[in-house]
Amino acid sequence: MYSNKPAAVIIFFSALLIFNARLAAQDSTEVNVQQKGKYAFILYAGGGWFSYVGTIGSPGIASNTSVVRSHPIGMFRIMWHPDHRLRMGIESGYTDFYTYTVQNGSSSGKVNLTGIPILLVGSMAVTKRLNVFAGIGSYLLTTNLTYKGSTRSKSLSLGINASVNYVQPVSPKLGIGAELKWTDVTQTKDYGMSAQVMLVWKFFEW
Amino acid sequence: MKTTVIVLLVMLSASSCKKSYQAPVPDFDNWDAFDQAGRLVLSTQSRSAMEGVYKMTDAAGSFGDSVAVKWSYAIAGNDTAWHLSIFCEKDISYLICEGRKSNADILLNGYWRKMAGVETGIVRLTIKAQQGADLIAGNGQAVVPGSIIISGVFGNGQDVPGLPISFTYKRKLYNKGSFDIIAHRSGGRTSDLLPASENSVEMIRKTPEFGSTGIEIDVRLTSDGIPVLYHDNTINLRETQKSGLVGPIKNYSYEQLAVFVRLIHGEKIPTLREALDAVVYQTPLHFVWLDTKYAGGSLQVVRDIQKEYLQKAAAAGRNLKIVIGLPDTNAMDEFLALPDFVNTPNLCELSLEDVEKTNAEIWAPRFTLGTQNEEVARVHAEGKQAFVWTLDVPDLVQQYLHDGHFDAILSNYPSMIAYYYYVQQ
Repeated sequence: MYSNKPAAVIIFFSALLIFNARLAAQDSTEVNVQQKGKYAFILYAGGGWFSYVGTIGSPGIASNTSVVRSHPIGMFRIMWHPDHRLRMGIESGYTDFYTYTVQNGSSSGKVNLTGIPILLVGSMAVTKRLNVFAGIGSYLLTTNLTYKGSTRSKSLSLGINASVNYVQPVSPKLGIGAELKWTDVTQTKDYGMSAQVMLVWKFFEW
Repeated sequence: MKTTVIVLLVMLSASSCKKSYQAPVPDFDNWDAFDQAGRLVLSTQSRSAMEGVYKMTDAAGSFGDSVAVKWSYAIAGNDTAWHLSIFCEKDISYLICEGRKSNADILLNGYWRKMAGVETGIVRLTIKAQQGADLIAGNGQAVVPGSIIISGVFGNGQDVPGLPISFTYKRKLYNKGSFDIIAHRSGGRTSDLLPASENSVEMIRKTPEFGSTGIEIDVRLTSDGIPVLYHDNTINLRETQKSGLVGPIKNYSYEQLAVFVRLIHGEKIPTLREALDAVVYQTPLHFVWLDTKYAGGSLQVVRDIQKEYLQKAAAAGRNLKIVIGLPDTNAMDEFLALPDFVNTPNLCELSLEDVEKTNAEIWAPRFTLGTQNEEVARVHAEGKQAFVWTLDVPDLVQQYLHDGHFDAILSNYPSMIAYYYYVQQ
């Protein structure tokens, strides 16, 4: 059995729309005349620690001598905050998934897999400062292999993520936050959990 | 609000999982009567006498009204393993058995599989002395309709078999002499849940059991110029186990692939040499179609290997044809740049004019173009052959066998082609 996660994310987005529409309907019964609120672009820039929880494939004939599953992670996200709860944006960053070394006779080798997410993200405020995010798109994966020479090889893979963050305002335009995120590169079955701290900056408002 | 959340959770949980399909070959090595000491291997004469078209009497609902029974072999070291394949009409099903002689009876032990699904199970068959075993052993009488009855039991999955199955000899297998059943990707696709990975040496050894008389294999070059068997452009989880390696196969050297990558069933990605070694020395296959998936030079290395193995096959007394496939104009241009292309056996998938240009022995149009009887006749008139690819639908296979005049059919289901070919009258 394995997860059908892209479908889950699409359903998540659909549910957000339904939920938002219901709230909007409730609001419209309470306020007869709606006025346009403020719109803003918000930048989230964060860093933290990523822990790979997927299985690491056993390589061919070589014995697997060591595996490193935890690495630093970095991300940035630009979100459009309209005057309603559903927000959209894009996310990228850098994730170091795992590294393993092998010994094959007298030869040793090392494989490192990294990814750059290129995701469309939707989010919604659950409470005033607590937000949920879900992203879907691609991960640009890179293998760095050292074994009787060096090889760098890249591939695009479908992927998703889901996260929850808490943002504490420190000024009208700045906040600091903490985020827990699940990352899932579905096509290559690479997944993990990360914890990050972040700076949140409302850099444009109208 | 509460309703929305509940609906959300139900939708998420419903979409979170989907079933993973598997069709493992059941463990059939537990039939005491078959495994007892003193059981004898069947003679060549016995095997030959058993081959034919049979009428199914029991289990027609599961396997269809008639079956084609044929033996094949694979060589491993000093041993030759013979398998009896029983190609069935219904659901692209087949039975594959080993045979032994038990006193005056013949025992057949193996498994069955339906390629149209994931159903499989154990099968145990017997030919009793008075129901044909004496005849098969060579008592001097001719095999005639009704003279051989194969009967026994089959079961589902790993269950002890208990469902009756029996079939009765009707006639000889159809054989027009020069027809080839060519298996795609060395025997079939990994996605069809076969017991070996596509484009592996293990699959090449197994594919005669599925009725193949030839194979198509996909050839790519590694970064150090070694031709290997691999279908897709990139390393992926459809074809390989998880390894951390991503991107095009041509980015990696052969040694890197050999150490870090395994195909779905754990096999190594084979070199073209390893694959052709298996064909020449371990199977009865007599046709190999090298589907060229590489671009940008180095066709010469494949040509050299082709030449070497044609010589090895001839030296081993094997009637083997190895052709370089030309699927597009880029491959054809590269082929025409070979210094001895005129003498290089090739199969051209393009126009009849291109067949002339490359001096191809074989023209291989895709099936969607129809039976093209006039063009096929033109090819035959020039002493060449015509193959068609890739036929996987029973109705189309019957149409091409009945209305067409091709010399071979390429399919992901060679057992289906075998059935419809051998039961012809």
